[in-house]
Amino acid sequence: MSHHDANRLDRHAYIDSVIHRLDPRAKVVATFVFIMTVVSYPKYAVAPLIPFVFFPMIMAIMGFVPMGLLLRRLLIASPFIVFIGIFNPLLDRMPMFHIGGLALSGGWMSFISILLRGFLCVGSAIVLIATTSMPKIAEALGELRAPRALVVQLMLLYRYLFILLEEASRMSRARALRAGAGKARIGVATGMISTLLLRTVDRSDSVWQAMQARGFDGQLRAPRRMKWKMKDTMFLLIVIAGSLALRIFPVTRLIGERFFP
Amino acid sequence: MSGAIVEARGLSYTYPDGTVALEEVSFSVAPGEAVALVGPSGAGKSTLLHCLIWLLQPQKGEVLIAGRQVSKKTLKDVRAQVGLIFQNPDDQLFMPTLYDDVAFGPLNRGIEGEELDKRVRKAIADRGLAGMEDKFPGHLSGGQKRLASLAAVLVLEPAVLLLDEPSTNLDPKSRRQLIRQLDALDSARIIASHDLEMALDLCARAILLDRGRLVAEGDPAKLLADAALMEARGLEVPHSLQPHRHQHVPRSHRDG
Amino acid sequence: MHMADALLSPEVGIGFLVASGACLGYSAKKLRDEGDERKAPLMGVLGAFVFAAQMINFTIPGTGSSGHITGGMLLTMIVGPYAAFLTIASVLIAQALFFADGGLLALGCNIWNMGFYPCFVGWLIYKAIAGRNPSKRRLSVAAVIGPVVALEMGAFSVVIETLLSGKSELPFGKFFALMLGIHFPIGLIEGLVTVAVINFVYGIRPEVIKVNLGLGDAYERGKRSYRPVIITMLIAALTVGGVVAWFASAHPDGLEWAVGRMTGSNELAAPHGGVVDKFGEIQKKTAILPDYGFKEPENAPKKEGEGEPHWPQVSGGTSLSGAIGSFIVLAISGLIGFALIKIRGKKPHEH
Repeated sequence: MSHHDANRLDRHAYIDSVIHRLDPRAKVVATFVFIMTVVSYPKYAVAPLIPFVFFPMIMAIMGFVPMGLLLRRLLIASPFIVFIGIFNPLLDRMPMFHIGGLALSGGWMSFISILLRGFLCVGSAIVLIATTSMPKIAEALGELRAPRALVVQLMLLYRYLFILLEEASRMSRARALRAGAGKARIGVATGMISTLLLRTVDRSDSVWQAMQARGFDGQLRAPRRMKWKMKDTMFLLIVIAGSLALRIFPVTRLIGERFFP
Repeated sequence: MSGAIVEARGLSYTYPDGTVALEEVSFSVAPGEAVALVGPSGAGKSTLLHCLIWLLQPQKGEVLIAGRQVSKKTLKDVRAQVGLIFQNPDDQLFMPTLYDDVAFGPLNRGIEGEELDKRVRKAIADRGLAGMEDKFPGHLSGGQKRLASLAAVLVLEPAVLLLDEPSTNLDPKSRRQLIRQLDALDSARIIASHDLEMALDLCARAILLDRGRLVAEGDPAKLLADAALMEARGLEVPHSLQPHRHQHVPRSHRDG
Repeated sequence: MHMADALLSPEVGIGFLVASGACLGYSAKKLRDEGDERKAPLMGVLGAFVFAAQMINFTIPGTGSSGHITGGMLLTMIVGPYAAFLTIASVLIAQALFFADGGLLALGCNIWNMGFYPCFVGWLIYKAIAGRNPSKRRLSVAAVIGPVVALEMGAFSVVIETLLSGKSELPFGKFFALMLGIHFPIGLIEGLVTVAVINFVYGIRPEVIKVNLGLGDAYERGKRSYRPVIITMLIAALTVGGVVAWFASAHPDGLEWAVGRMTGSNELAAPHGGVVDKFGEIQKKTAILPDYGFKEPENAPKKEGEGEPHWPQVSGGTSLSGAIGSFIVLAISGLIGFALIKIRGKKPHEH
């Protein structure tokens, strides 16, 4: 995702909504369960995946996630997925699905399945990001037994991420203005990376001093504990139950049969 | 001198690459006193502040805080009594929320729970930042960041406050606000700054540093008005002290 | 080479999450034991640095395309393998949970592919080649080989993960050849940039890397000679080239051949080939892993699985009712969506 979009989503994570107020742990676990269920389907599954769209959609709407941004990120499907997936229709030509006189090969089914999974998984990830700020996600991971060192690392990274991206951006722009069009030559880029690295180390020295000056003893503690509420339990149960129900019962097919027996 | 809250005796510091940053600097600060630390760039102002709390360990000389000598053993207590406001607030605000940053100091000293919450909220409110507890420091304005650093340091109620170029990059309104707040503090303050007008507004005494040596000390109104001294040390007499207020005319307006 | 959720199966995803998680836990423990608190802010800012460095694109001479470094080897040379691994992991987690690049389930795979190999294998390679008090030449050779090996192992892992997940039809041989081939020059360039940065940094702030890399007088003295590096590159290129050629060739897939011997038949069950079906046969017999999703012809009755599949078998939506149901569900979701937008109220302001 571009830095501009990431910035927007980051800012968005700090607003107040029903979804934003849910416990970060609940949202992280729910998203994970959702993704696990989606990817658990056999490779030709298409119709059964459709109802899963409800989870990211409802979360996105109730969390006021900017729709344009969301759709844009979804449609710019990861090139890697498309690159790998596009071979399926090429390599798997056995017809599998007939409608009227048209036949769709297994390869197309699995390719569409991959794309659908992509939409659902990326979509739910974006919704998580847009409704839960990075520090909260980090803290949630800590509560879910991730090592404390990792949680602290994520928080510090997040804090200095945009500052460093700004520095790199400024350097790149300065170079581009002096060099005319085109990307940097490898030697120049190496110089920029080296300078950036030295500045980074200098900054870490200052941060370290600031920590020492305030009595850092090696442990970065969390001052406030998260409070789990009833609504978080309800939310998590609904998502888990819903995912399981969809996984066990062929809901889409049943609905189709009900209307066109 | 007994009664002094900060006393530096013969402080000398040389950087690992051999540059001499401080040479035999001695001075003292009384409780509640505001002292301006002035001098040209590279004079060693920042270095001096860092040496006072052993962020840089002086090779020679000693520092006494409230009569106690700064040493490995007393360091932790010293750092609770002496707060340092860094030149770049981004270096000092390293936690994900304002609340976390302000809570960092007390947490490291074993204060937690209700007591912690009370102190943190009070420190934040005292700086006029109430309501911003959950803000990401990166989203704060320059002036707000400066006040946030103040809150993060003042929450420990230090007897001494060291400030390294506090008014840098502040818009006039934020600068005014900062000066007002600094003026209202009870703690002793050592303010290293190029902002000589601020020094005049806040400080009863000025110390002039040049190339690592203490070259002058005294009443800011007199010291900073000494044109010869100022020019010799690479500084300028602040506007408010200049005898004739000659106005500089931009080139485009000259010669009709 | 980020792995995506869409191409993963739950087993592979979880498997690598466990592996990466264990490695993270171990690294955290090692850092705790080391007790160097100075590393915490350094790692934090270095994590941000990796992002920024990956943003600096450069043209790759002779190809016209652009690239960037990943930074794993560089990091491990600065802070050692444990801290580097934790940092790279945090970068990948931030990429997934902040930029939505790379999936959540796939994090385990990505941390393994792009963290474990550069940090740990890279470190081993450095120690093995450069050892103690290395000369400039030795250091350069180590710093170039490290990323090449790490990236190739990472590329190989991506192939294995994709294969085991069974969502793609790509034949192992050609996929492997392609990935290996692509990542070789990438690794080479990363190595060269790494060497340059290390040398630069040593010139200005030697203490940053001196202790960690065990640099001494041999490094100070040494003249920078490119010959050993070039020779290494040639040997590596020939090796990789050979492997790529073998796997891309018309010969039967090495892996399929081996599996064929294992299951006692040399014929591939399905016309579209792929090792997945072979695995499917093995799984059917042993019932260890859940179903990989066999093609079910439209009219076949639903079979009860032999052995207990972990996840229930569901028809692949190949029926007409599936298609109709899909449209209806989408329509319903659209309606519910509009209704919710009306009900929810105004967008709240940032607090």
